[in-house]
Amino acid sequence: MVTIRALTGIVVALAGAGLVAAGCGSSPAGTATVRTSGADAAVLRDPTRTTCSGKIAVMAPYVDGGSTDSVQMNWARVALDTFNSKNGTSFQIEPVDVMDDVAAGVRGARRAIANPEVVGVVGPQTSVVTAAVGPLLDRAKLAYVSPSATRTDLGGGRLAGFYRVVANDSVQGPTLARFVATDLKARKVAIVENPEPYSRGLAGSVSRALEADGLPVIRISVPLRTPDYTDTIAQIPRDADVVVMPFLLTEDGQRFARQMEAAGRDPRLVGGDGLFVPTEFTKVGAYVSSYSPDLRKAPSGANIIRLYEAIFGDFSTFGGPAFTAMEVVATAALQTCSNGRATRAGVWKAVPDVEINDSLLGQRVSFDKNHELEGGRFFMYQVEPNGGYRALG
Amino acid sequence: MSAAGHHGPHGHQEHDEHAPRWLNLSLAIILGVAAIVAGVTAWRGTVLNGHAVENFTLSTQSVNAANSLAQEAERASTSERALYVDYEEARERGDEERAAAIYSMMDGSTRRAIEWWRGQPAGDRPLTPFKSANPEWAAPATIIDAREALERASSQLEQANIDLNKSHSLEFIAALLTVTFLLGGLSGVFQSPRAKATLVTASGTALGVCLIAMVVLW
Repeated sequence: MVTIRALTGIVVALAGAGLVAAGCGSSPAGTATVRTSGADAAVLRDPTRTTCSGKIAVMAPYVDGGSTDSVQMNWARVALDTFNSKNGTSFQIEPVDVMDDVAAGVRGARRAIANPEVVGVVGPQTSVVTAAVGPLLDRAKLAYVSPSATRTDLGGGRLAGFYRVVANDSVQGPTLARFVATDLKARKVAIVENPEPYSRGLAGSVSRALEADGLPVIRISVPLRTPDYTDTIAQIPRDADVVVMPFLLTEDGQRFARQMEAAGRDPRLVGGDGLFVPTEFTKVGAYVSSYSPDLRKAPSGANIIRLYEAIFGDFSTFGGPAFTAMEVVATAALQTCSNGRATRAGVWKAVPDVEINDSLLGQRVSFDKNHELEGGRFFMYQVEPNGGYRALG
Repeated sequence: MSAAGHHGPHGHQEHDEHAPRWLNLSLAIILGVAAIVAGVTAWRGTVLNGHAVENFTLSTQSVNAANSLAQEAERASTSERALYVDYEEARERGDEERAAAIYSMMDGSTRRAIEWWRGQPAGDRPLTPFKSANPEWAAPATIIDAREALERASSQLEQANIDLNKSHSLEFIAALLTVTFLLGGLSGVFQSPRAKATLVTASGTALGVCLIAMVVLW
């Protein structure tokens, strides 16, 4: 009898466990947020998500129609609309048209500061504008994340609200020097530079690194927009097998490369990121550096590139960091959203702690105490006969 | 069987009397648990099958939604540009009536995009209203929503396939459980305690394997 009672107990217990399991398993396997009504975009968004609004200024060119015009703006826009779609937010872009014109930058920054809806800034694009408008933005407690201002002295905490999602020039110089010495195995190097901060700084950095490696280096300075480089070319030693040209302006790089070819000189040419403009610098076989990695190599790159092409047609890797810069600002805005509104104070406080693990840049994005991108690198490309730039390494 | 023949009717009774009770009890438990596991497995398989069908349906709906959105984005993009060109031409000609008529044919987002564009100072105005700098230009968001819907469809399809595979595996476990029943049932045919014990052990092992597989595939 005891055995039968025990057996009954066991069977009842097992049946109970089965029922409990049945109860646990009755919930749906996944949660579906897609509705059936079709074309209305709003139904595709999860209505339970918290909405948040505010404007994010983007300080990048979009008016002049030049080769890089609108590229960063486009990438920032794709990032913002994607962010809104994924998070149910309604952040808006506030465009500020500025490239390297300091006066225009100051005007644009003042306009952004005066607009209370603007909670953060993507940009400025160039170092020279960043240096000029940084103090204004700092006073207004507007955090600004640049996708391309690489001048080293902008970092280090000098500008309190300045962050960048690219490496600075202190990384670019050694990267170029390492490439010249190790990959190109140069024997003698000439550096042709412009007498302005970007070019001189980069030339100095490359020169120091090469000389530390024991390579002979000769430096030649030429003014910006030099129409005729005949004298400069004559100064370049015949046995220099690599010419580094950290020009500020792409047009100068292109003109210099053409005149070198016309003069029958054929050393390998290496440019800085100032020449990374595929539509303008087209010297086949030349090398250029860029703060932007080949976006196609990032795990999330293919999808986002397809999206970009669906909206804007041509894809350009140049503006990719603007996508990440916008992600940083929008993430900070959402994290500190209060009563459906993002705030400047919130973005200012949150940006240093933003982390993006699967970024378009193919690396984890976070900032060190100097507001620099942790693990930031420069990348080398080679100009191909079809005009494209091929990532090396 | 041969043992029973050797000992005769008396020996057979004695053998039955000495059959260990734990063996019968174990067999009863194994068969009981097997029955419950078979039931739960079949139920879980049906639930997962249902989820798979649900996700297949949702996936199809998402694809339809994505296609609708993509077509809408394409149509809106073409339409807004064509209307805008006609509108500007009418304005340049001074044909305000025609311009107003064309303007009235534009959808709300196109009108807002044009208004924003017109409101910009000449030096800060993009070449056309349909540029990324124009916050009122809605085409990028529409295309992105279409892509999102497509991604959702893809993940739902993936989930449906996972559920379907699990469901099939659970059906296979249910089929394996018949081995438990078969071995347990066969144990009643044999007189030898050793043969009984072997079959009960095999039955229990089959049940254990099925239980582990069910837990893994849950």
